[in-house]
Amino acid sequence: MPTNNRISTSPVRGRYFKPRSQYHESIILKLPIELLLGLFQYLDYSSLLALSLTCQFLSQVMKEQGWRDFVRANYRHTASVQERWSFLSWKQRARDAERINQAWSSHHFTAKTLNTPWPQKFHSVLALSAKRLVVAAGNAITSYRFGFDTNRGSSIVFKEGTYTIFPSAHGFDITGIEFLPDGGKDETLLVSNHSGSLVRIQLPTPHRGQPTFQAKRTAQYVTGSNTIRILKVTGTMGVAFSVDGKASVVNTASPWIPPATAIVGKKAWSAYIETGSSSPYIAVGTDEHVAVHSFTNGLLSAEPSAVLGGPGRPTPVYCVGEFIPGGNPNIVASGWYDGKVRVHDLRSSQRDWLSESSTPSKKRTTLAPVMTFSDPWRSFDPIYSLAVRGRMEDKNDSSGGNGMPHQHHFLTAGSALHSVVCLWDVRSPSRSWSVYAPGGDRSPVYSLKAEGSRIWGATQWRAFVLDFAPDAPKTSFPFVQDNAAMKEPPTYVHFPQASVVG
Amino acid sequence: MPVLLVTSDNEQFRVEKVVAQRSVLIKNMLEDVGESDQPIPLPNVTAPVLKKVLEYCDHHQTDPLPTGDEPSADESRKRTTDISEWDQKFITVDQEMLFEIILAANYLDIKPLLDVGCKTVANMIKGKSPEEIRKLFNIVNDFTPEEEAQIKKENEWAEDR
Repeated sequence: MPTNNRISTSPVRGRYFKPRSQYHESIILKLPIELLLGLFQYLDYSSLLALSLTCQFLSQVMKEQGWRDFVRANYRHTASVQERWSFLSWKQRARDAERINQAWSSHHFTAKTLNTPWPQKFHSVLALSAKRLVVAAGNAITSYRFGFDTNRGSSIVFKEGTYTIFPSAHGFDITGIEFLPDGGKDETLLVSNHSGSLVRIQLPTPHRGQPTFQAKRTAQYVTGSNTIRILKVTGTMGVAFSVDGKASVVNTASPWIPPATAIVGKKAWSAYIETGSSSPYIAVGTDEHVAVHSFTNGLLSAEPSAVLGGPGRPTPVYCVGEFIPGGNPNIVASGWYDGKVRVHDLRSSQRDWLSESSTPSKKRTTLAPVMTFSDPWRSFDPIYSLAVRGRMEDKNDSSGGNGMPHQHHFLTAGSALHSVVCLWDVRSPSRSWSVYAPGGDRSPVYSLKAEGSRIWGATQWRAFVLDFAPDAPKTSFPFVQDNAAMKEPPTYVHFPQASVVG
Repeated sequence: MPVLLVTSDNEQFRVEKVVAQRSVLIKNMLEDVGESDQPIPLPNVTAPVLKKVLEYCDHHQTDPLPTGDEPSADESRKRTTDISEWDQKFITVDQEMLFEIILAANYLDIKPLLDVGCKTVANMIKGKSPEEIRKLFNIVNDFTPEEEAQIKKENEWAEDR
């Protein structure tokens, strides 16, 4: 057949493949490399594996590029297992990615609690970085470090220590905690409390056999608020919302500069900062709806630029967050008191006319959600926390996260009762499911962090992890007395009542 | 206005512009050239293949053109192996023609057709063992017995699933 002028086979990333003259019997082996790699994108893991086992040439193409492409499209970033990841070949990573995604779809995971129940109920908060998970409960924080045991070939999560941040009097409970950029050391945090304190702390370096009980306070900020309800960080900027609707923006690197304040006027329950958008904003969950305030150069507008609507009557919004990690910054997810997670697209023109004000002239339009998720079996439990699993390999990856396929993209939410975590498969909501957090507490899930292979969460009694990685059963988590006796937490599927309302 | 296409084996095809423009390559060429009666040479496509490709373009001439700015839709499209009934019938050809169509769709830049071709190959491979794939595509097993043993060892997990 006349194939003379076809695209010539070219090197893939500077590597040359063996000449293929001896295989020219086979048509598939005559495809240009680019096209062959393009074809591979249509194949699932087991097809690719079988192909790679047919001959030297295909084995080499897979080894050099094919498995890498597969991982790019299928692996979801998991910062807490980076150390283990760095020891794996692309082929092993592809196998991991495949097994993790299968585990999510087939509800196979390892569940662990990270502590014995706290002596009293706390409104716990989590902070997650590449190196650590920090659990704030009451006036203290507990730091867990991530690692990899090369001898056993499995991941480790170990407890570094528990540190008291504020005096143990009533009213000093931690309300917000976030990591601050510190050159990758992940030991600097911004912490707020119920009495309006906002401090920067540094985690101590643990000395062998000598537990430390104090984290060093390295800065203190004046916010002029008596109660901080929410704390969020973007870059070196911290934004604290007080109970009376005041937002204070502090420059954490310069504690002497007074904060820029804005009165957003509404009681704030939750907030989400998006600076990746061409018009940066903070979405604030209030007692009534989500108010989107523009946020440029550290200045927050007092008047919202958009209002995101819910069920058509004022309803509290307890959590706000991203919907597509690293993806379109105009899409916002929020968890509401009526048990629904709503997704709004700020570019949408679909609006509900809602008269919030008694004077008809002040009628305001609210943006209607583009998607709504709910767990049909817990449809009246308020949503307390939100997290998305979906970010691809790395933020800094060349794909920039913009090529985010919806495949393996899960929206997770913690509900207000029975410590239920709902997992919505965004691409096919009929495959959504829910799980009771280990420990089986009758408690809200106050905080959630989702990674590619792990969900971290916290109830009023304890922190927990659901681990979907293939090495999870071997992973050493901190020893907790009741983990040994604890059975697998129950799960249930949403089908057939799973709903996505357009 | 019809467009004149010339294949590598010097056959001429007169087709409606709207049909020819399913090919992004031809569409761009026409835009560069402007109004002209000049025949468009397609040195990478033979007459039997072009005939087949034009059949596809004709049937799909009113489909919306892919915009290319929705990478997420692009990705999820690749993952589903669904092929419409007409396309399925259209692509029921021998293996040589199938790969010729894929090559032509790639060269002419007709993404939906490339999609149909690749999905068809994917469906052919799906669920087959390496030995079955070798038979399917006439691939020679050139692994040494040592390599074969090594591969078997490395991939043991695949069998216990």
